[in-house]
Amino acid sequence: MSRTTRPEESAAAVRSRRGRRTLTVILILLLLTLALAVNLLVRLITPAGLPGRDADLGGLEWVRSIYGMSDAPEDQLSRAQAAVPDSGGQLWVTDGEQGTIMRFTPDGQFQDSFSGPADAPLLTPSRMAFGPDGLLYVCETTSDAIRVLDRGGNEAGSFNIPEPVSVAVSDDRIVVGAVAGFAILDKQGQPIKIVGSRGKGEQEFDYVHGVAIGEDGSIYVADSFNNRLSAWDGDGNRLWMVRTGKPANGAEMIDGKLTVTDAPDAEEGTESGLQLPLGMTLDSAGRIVVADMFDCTLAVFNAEDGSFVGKYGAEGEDDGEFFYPVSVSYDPGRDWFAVADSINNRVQIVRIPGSSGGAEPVSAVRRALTGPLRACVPPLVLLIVVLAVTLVVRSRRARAAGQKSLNDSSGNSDFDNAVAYTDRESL
Amino acid sequence: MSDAGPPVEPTPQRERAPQPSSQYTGIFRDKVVRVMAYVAAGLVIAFLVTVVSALFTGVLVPSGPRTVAEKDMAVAAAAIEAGSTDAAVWGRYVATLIAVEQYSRAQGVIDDARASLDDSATAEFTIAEARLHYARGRYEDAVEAADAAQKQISEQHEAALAGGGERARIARLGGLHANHAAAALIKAYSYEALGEWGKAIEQFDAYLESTPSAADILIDRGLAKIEAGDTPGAEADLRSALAFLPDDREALDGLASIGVTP
Repeated sequence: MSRTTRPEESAAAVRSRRGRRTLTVILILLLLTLALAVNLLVRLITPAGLPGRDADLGGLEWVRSIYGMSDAPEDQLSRAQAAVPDSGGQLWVTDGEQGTIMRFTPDGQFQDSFSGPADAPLLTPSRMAFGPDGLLYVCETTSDAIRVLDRGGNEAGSFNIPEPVSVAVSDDRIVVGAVAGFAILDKQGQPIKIVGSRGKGEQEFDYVHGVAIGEDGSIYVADSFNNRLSAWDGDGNRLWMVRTGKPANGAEMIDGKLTVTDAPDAEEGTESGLQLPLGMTLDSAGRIVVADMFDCTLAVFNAEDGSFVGKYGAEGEDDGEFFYPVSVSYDPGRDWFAVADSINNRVQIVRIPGSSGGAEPVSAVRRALTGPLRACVPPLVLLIVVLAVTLVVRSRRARAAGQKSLNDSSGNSDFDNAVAYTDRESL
Repeated sequence: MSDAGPPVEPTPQRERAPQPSSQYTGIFRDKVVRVMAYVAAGLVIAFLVTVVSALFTGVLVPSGPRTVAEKDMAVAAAAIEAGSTDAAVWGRYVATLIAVEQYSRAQGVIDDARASLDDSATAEFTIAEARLHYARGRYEDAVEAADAAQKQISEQHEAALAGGGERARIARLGGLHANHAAAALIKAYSYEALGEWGKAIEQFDAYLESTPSAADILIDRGLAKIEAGDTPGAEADLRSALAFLPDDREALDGLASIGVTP
């Protein structure tokens, strides 16, 4: 079809048509360039060698792993012991090699490390917990001590306790898990109650590798080698106890022979059966999350009664898989778990379903904003502001135009009335 | 279908739009042009704000390796950067580059390594080349490179044995270098990709001769035997694998596919 250029077509219309054509080309080129730039950015921030889609992790979502302080072989984590988040989401990490406490950003960037006070350096820091007071409570099993340090690694009220292997801190309590039971202490480290002795009986314990304190002050305990979970009130009275699998301490010398005797209530081969419960934490939904060292999974239990909820993860060395996870902590701000993946020599950041305890869309948005999508917030806010300003300006203009036309129409009316009045007068 | 848009009719409104009193001049007197210009400017501004925001929120700040592949690559690269002359470290670096599909870079590293290091005893770089061929889907080339690597390793081994003394004693105790078996696996998977199941099984046999308890390779050989029509052989291999890995999905599915209950 031939282009029509009528003699009456104005120069302005020709300019408009050219302008539209030029801007269409510019817009197309711009969109292509932006698509290319976005693609490059996405490739830049997407980790290489992501876990395969076919990996069956039971619903566990891998976020990232942390491998070391730098790329140098000697700076890699070795036998990761613990990774706990502070209130700002920074991760504080111990391993079996460095003898220091290492600090990483939530994105996994190494910040610094310290070895404690110069006059009393840390020897073998293992499990840790942050208190609401911002202090770091570190188990030093070989020194029979809980080292209390500020964020700079300075002494802040350490105390002695026999063979501590786990610790949890609330506003008014410190709970220390030990080889023979657990202790409830005040914030000065003075005992309020000591629970248990070493053994297999009802009130006995065999390595309490996991303790956690609920919002209501309830205390949750992982009795590792007895393979039991239990809940206690703040004064040390037991609320419930469940056997979570076959105890790992069934072998004993009887009449000079090594004999294995299973506990009668051991759950063998069931889905909920744990192999060796170690570290423990509570998520925002109030559930107990346990690192099962030998099953290489995270197991979730109901805090009300210890009933089994689910298991997440799998054994292996790929990202999202575990090989002897020994401790787990939870960051409520980011709704993720930091797992000390011991034999894989790393800390893994993972998520499991239902941990936020809130509405799923809200949780999904919160989770997304902890990742690269957070960079899209400022442009989104800018877009909303621009749209709002445009709408306001348009509505003002429309109101002003309406007012003007109203004034115009009222003017005519006066004129008409005046004419009518004159006509009546003349009559 | 027309090859041009509809003619812009000089409607009365359009005639009126570019009035001298208008606040817009030139092509911007046209409302459509203005909207398109706003959209283009908005896109550019949004993109720039996103990039600045990504920089400020740390999204674009390098944070260290995030995956095992990135970690292996970074650690090997750091070791090479520090001056490592260990051919195995270079070989590992190439393997990590192949794992993240950086094939051109992997070829570059192989070339650099060949130019400066000696891999005569381990055939590290020939093995790396075989891996690269396999990853690129050049299966015949992969077989050829793996063959060359095995030949090189065997010759070096025999030379060490013939030389006598301590070197011969070590060679006798250590046997063929592990890369010999690795080359057999590359050949096995290449033959599989080529659909030559019989040759693939031969290579799996060679590998399992040195490592009979490699459960994952037993599974692979079992599955290859299914393809080759050797059902009893497949069942034996898959059952052997299940003795090591009782819940392995591949082995269980393999047995199910030949109608055998585990």
